[in-house]
Amino acid sequence: MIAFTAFATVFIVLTAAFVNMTSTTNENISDMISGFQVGVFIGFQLTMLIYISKYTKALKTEDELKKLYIKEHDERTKLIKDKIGGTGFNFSLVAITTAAIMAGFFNELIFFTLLGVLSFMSLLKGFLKLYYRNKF
Amino acid sequence: MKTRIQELRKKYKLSQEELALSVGVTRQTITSLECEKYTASLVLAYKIAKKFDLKIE
Repeated sequence: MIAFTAFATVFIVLTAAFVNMTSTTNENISDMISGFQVGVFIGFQLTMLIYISKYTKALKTEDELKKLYIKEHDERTKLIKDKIGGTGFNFSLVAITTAAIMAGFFNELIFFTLLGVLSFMSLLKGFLKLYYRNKF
Repeated sequence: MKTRIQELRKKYKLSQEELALSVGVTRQTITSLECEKYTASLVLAYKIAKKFDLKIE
């Protein structure tokens, strides 16, 4: 918990430094890109703050801790998450493949970017398959 | 999968929340089990059977 809070604090400080850096120097980066980058960082911070408040609340009483434990280890919830991960990942692979094929007709840069993403996702899937086969 | 969970729960005057807490799952899981949308794992089926002092069958 302390380690998580410390990590969150460091992350917030780094975000502030990053925002300060991007607002004063890199004028070539378009507003949308820098806005997206800042948005992602702020999103991470908010997520971390939510988790900190959730775990702090759970640590106050035994009942709350038990409820949180049950919520996080519920078998139906785990099954739903597994299905989302498995089906969602495969669906994304198909969608990116289709997009890469279509982009190949219009823009070379987008095609190679999508191809890079597709290669990474395929390698990741392969690696995870080998890892979990050996683990279980 | 058809179960007698709802019938047994009402017989013992337990709420879904109480049953869920005693077997270590969320209330939504008990609801799904009663609506036959979800099939419990062997471990959960055993816990529920033990709670009502019955066999899994």
